[in-house]
Amino acid sequence: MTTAVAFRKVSRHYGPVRAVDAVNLEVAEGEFFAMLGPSGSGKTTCLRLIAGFEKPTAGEIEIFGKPSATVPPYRRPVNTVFQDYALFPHLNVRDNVAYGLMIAGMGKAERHAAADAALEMVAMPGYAERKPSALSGGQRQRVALARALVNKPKVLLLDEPLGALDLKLREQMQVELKGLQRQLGITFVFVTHDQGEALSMADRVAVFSEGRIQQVGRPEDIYDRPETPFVADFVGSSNVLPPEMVARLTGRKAHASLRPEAVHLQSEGGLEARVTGQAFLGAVTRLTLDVAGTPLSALLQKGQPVPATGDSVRIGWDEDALHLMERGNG
Amino acid sequence: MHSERASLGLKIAAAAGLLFMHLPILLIFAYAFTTEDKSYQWPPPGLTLKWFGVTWARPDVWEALSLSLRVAAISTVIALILGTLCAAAVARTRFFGREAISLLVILPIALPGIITGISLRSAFNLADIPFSFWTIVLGHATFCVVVVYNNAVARFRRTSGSLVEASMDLGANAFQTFRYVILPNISTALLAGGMLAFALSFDEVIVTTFTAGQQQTLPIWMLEELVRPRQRPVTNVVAMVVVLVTFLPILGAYYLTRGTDTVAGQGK
Repeated sequence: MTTAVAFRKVSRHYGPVRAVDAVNLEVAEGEFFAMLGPSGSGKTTCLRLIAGFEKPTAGEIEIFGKPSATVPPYRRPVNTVFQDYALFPHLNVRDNVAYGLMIAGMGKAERHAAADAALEMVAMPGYAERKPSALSGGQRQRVALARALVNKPKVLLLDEPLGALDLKLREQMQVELKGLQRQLGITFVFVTHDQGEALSMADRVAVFSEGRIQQVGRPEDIYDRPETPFVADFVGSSNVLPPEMVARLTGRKAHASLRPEAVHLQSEGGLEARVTGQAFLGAVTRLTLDVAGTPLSALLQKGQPVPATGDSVRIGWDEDALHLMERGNG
Repeated sequence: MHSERASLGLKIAAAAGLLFMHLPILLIFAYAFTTEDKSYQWPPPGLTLKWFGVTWARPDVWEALSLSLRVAAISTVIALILGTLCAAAVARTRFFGREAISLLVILPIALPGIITGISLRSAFNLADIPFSFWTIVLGHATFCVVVVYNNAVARFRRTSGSLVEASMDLGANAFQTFRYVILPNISTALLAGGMLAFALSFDEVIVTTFTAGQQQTLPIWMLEELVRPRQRPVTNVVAMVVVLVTFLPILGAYYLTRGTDTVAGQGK
């Protein structure tokens, strides 16, 4: 398997701020790779480093085995779908999509045909003559996608492309993007702060926090076996139990993650907990609990009786639900 | 939007204000046709077109007009180049002293022209630069740059920075990005700024009196003519031409910059 993008101890500092701090990373060719993290975690800077808009302060980035330090953005075999789409307002949709081909010197008829084909691929035929200002957010997003893909990049970089869309459209685009990536076989590097998006679309996910990668792995691994308390908390809001409590429960002193859906109420045994609140979420109800000073949440399936705030309940979980994390954050 | 109607008093006041501003200009036009050439007498004793012929035949008018047009054209070109570069630097990048530069560039238009004029004149004297066509151009360029800069910087700020990155990302080098993305997006602002700069330069008197040698630009020629009562309506004919030459570009600038309030390249 070829490595499409490799980071070798890459850092990007802005004065004292370490936006990206000694990151090592390998993205395989043809992979759908997600960079997940809260804002300011360095994921977008990593994307901009691949595109060439930023230069690493230290370390090296290789794109298909070639060091990229001296390669300007316009000579890199990558294309970007920008967060604000960055469509050229003075050009119509067709000329926007054909821009890269025009720069590459392709003839007018040929590049217009290619642009129309790309628009068809993103389900936007018939919009070629319009100006970007006459399109909705979702339509602009598709045009931005077509404009990048028409150049047949080896790596497509997507910077929170679904962030501005409403929920329904976002879910639809998630499915379409995934399908497009399978069909074209292009490496996608996708930046998002939405863990659901990352988990549902990506082959592998890198979780970022404060300029560092906390964990890289398949979505199942990230979700079920978080390696750090940050990952457990950020990916799916898992309960993170403090080492003292884990020591009492298991005899080993380490942070542990406990999925809220694994916690259930029981009539006897287990731990005693006090109910501090409930939130109705549709299919489930989230109970917030207090276990000897440690806050914990549990998800109750619809139909189960919901205890009132202040009630004393007993909780338990399946033995393998508690996942010990030997590493701290960072 | 307001739906209430203006009261009659307000309408009359508005009309009176507009008349006060524009009637005197019509008066200038009327005197261009008068038969009386020693003093401005109202109403004109008779109407004639002969002053247009007289003006046409006066070489000093042509010299002044040609000088003014050349000065305005070259000042505008200088302003377009320097103003755009400066606006790009201030709007696009962060550097030490950015705010100071932004203020210093705008200063010449805020300073009274007479101060700009005196300071330029003493500077030229100190540096032993003889007064010429180019000293006039330099004087005018000081405030023409501001006009272009102001227009360009506003447009740069409203143009999303990611457009440049998108262009680079799609394979365009710096020159191609300027040619295909930046220029089309700022062209109307430049045209508007250039036209305003041209109009400002064309009717400038104060700075010019300090930076010109023996040469007369059109406004200075007119000032001299008013002092010397000889074929007075010629001045009025020239005034009509000046109004037209100044008014048309300003009208053009107004139309070109209308309806560009939305931020270019914003996707949401």
